[in-house]
Amino acid sequence: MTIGMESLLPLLFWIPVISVFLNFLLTIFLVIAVQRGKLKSKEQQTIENEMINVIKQAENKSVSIIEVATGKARDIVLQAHGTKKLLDYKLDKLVDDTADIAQNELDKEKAVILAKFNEGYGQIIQQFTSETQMLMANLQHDSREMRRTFAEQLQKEALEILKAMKTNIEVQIKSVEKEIKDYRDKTFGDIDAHADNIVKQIVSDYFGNKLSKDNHKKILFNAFEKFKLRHTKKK
Amino acid sequence: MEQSYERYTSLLNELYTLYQCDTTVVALQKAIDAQYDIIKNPLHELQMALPFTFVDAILDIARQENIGLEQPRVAKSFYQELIDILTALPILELKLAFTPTYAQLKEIVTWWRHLTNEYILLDITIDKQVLAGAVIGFEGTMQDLTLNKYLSSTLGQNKAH
Repeated sequence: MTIGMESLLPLLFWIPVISVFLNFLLTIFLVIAVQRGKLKSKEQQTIENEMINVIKQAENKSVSIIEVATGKARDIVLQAHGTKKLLDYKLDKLVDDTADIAQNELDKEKAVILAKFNEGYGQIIQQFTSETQMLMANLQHDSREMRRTFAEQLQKEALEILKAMKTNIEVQIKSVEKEIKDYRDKTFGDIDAHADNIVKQIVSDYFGNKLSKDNHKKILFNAFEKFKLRHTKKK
Repeated sequence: MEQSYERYTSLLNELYTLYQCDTTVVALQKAIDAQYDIIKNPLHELQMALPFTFVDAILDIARQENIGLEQPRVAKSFYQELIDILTALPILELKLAFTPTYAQLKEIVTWWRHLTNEYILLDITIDKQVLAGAVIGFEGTMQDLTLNKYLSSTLGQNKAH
């Protein structure tokens, strides 16, 4: 079982810390005991000396423990470093060997696959050729059928278009005839209206300017006679 | 002519138009009003408002009927009677293309009075659109006997053909 650098470092940290902590507790204990005054001054002096010695010893012990631990840790780290280099070398070698083996295996598999592919490809080519021939034959048949259907459809649609064109032309001819009739009626109407206006204008000019009062009176009395006739009939 | 109009013939024979009749009625009304005004003379009011032939006709009637116009009450009654008669006369409406002369007016009135046997009054309007003839309105009927109407109907018929 190999001790790694990662597992050793916490150990190196915690051993001095615990040692210092224990010394600290001991010191406190002694201080409390002195303060209580239960000990006599000589004894107290002795105890203090002893306590100082104990503290110094503990300190020396702690320092030595830390130095030993540090040395051990350095050794372990150096060992681990050497182990890592060895492992890297071995691992590289293993990877190279594995790559060679894999390449060889791959070449073998490639050869097998190539052989199978060549065999399958030949079969597929053969199958494809036969199927293509069948397909061509089918296509020729379908093509003849489609041409026949298309010709029938074309003839039918052409007839329908011709029929629609004929109907459309007839409608257009009727529309044009109506337009011509309307135009003729409107034009004749306009001519009539124009002629009427001219006649009315001439008559108005004549009766407005040329007709004498005597002639007006004669026309007026003719109107009276007409009124008389109608009025008498009514009565 | 009705019997009641006989005593007023001399005045009615002078009246041809509605305008003359209205003027006469207004003058008679002024004469009545003057009866109540000491500074106005009723006869003078008539002479100011009417042609002398009309005034003479009115005075002739009074003279023939022995009506004392110097008596206000009698005069008022006489003038009022004249107003009543004039406002009741029948009216003939004529729309003409020309303005007739006075002689022509007389001819027209004579013709109509002969036809109707009434003292009709002419209400004449002039419209050049008539061209010739007349639009005649009498006793609630209106007849368009104008050249304009004849032309319109004739030209309209041609157009229809």
